[in-house]
Parts: sequence; structure tokens; C-alpha cells
Amino acid sequence: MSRAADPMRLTWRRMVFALLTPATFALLLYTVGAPHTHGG
Amino acid sequence: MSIGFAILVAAPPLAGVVFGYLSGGRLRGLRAIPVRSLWLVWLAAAVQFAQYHVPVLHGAAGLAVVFGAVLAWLAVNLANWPMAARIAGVLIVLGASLNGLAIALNGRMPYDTRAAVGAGLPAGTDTPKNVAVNERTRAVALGDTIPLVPLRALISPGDILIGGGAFAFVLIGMRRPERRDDDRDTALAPAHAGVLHPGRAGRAALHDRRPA
Repeated sequence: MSRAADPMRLTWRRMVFALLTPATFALLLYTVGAPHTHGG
Repeated sequence: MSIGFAILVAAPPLAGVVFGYLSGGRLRGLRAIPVRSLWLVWLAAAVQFAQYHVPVLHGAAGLAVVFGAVLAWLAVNLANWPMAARIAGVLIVLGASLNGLAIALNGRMPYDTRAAVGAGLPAGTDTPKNVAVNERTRAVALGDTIPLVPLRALISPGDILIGGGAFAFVLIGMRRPERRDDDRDTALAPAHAGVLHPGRAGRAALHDRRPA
């Protein structure tokens, strides 16, 4: 079986892409959110 | 960056993930919502981070790049998102605009000194991003005036809108059916409603119908 067709590899790739969206929104909060914290 | 700040940033999307699972959604559902031009968000984050070390970015230039890049990213993506996710995106636009307005009017994000003391923060000190409210501060209500005592933090109405939008987007995305790889299979798509699709090119499937 080729590496590209490996179902486990595809599952991990899909999971990383899925997690990218929540991570993007955390990044968004970092950029345009403006909380005042101690040392923040 | 303090632990309180890190929790504030990560909590809304993580809460979206938790509630997404609790309501029967799955992370893979997020693949059904296209997210494009991520480099704009990374650019905004890089400039925001650089503000701690590069004083020239404290002014209008940094503000324009950070908020311009994020609003451009949302403008690029909003049209491609389903209606519910679009509403979440609009909440984020509104929150970012309110924060941007308060910063633009005062140079940095103003914070309420009395609320800061109540949240366990030192009052009167200025940071690269925050300035204490004084008699010359404009649009005080848009500043960091809402205390979060357990996190020793103050947040603004704009932060609530951005956090709420991020939470809602992740929750909505997780509850959507996953996009399948053959969703864009135009070979099987009919030209318009009521028309039979022609099927794929190649040999047709033949079934042996001879009596056994």
C-alpha cells in the first residue's frame, strides 16, 4: 500500500486539518482580542 | 504572555470543541467549512507579537496591519461560510471593530483602574498594549472594564463578542456533516434539476441475469 493511500495517515492528516480551525480562532483572539492581564 | 492570557485566548474555541462533542458533533465536521488565506491571520499575529519588542508598531501602523489583516481574512472567508457560521463571523468582526476603535481613539487599549484592583491587577501601570483610564480617555465603555477575577484579567465588550463568535463557529462547524471527498464529483452531477446525469465514462457494469 502506498503512503498516500494509508488510511491511518489520512486520518491523522484530517485530524490536523480539523484542529487547524480551533487553533486559528485562538490565534484570532490573540490578535484582535485585547484582554488586560498581569504581564499579558 | 501570562497563563491567564493564554487561557483567555484558548478557552472559547476549546469550549466550542467540548460543547461540539457533547451535542453529538465531531471535529471532522469542521472540514465542511472552507477556511482560506490563513496567512493573513498569521501575519496579524506576528505583528501583534512584535509590538512587545518594536515600539514603532504601537501606533497607527501596527493597528492598521493587525486589524486590517484580520478583517480582510474574514471578508475573504465570510461569503463561503454557511449562514450560521457567517453570523459567528460577523460577531467577530463587530468585536474586533469595537476593540480597534477603542485602541485607535486612545493609542492603546484603556483599562478601568478600579476594576483592575478588583481583579487583583496592579492599577495605574501601562503595558505595551494597555493604558490606565484617565480624564482624557475616550470610549471608556469599549475598554477593558469587565473583571475576570479567577484569571486576574480585565476584558472588553469586544473581547466577549470575539470569544462568543469563536465558540459559536467551532460548535456550528462540528455539528455539520463532514464534506466527502466525492462531493465535487462533477462527472456525476446533473446539469440542472430534473436532468439525469450521464454517469462516468468507461465500461458499464454488467450483471449476469441468466437464470441460475
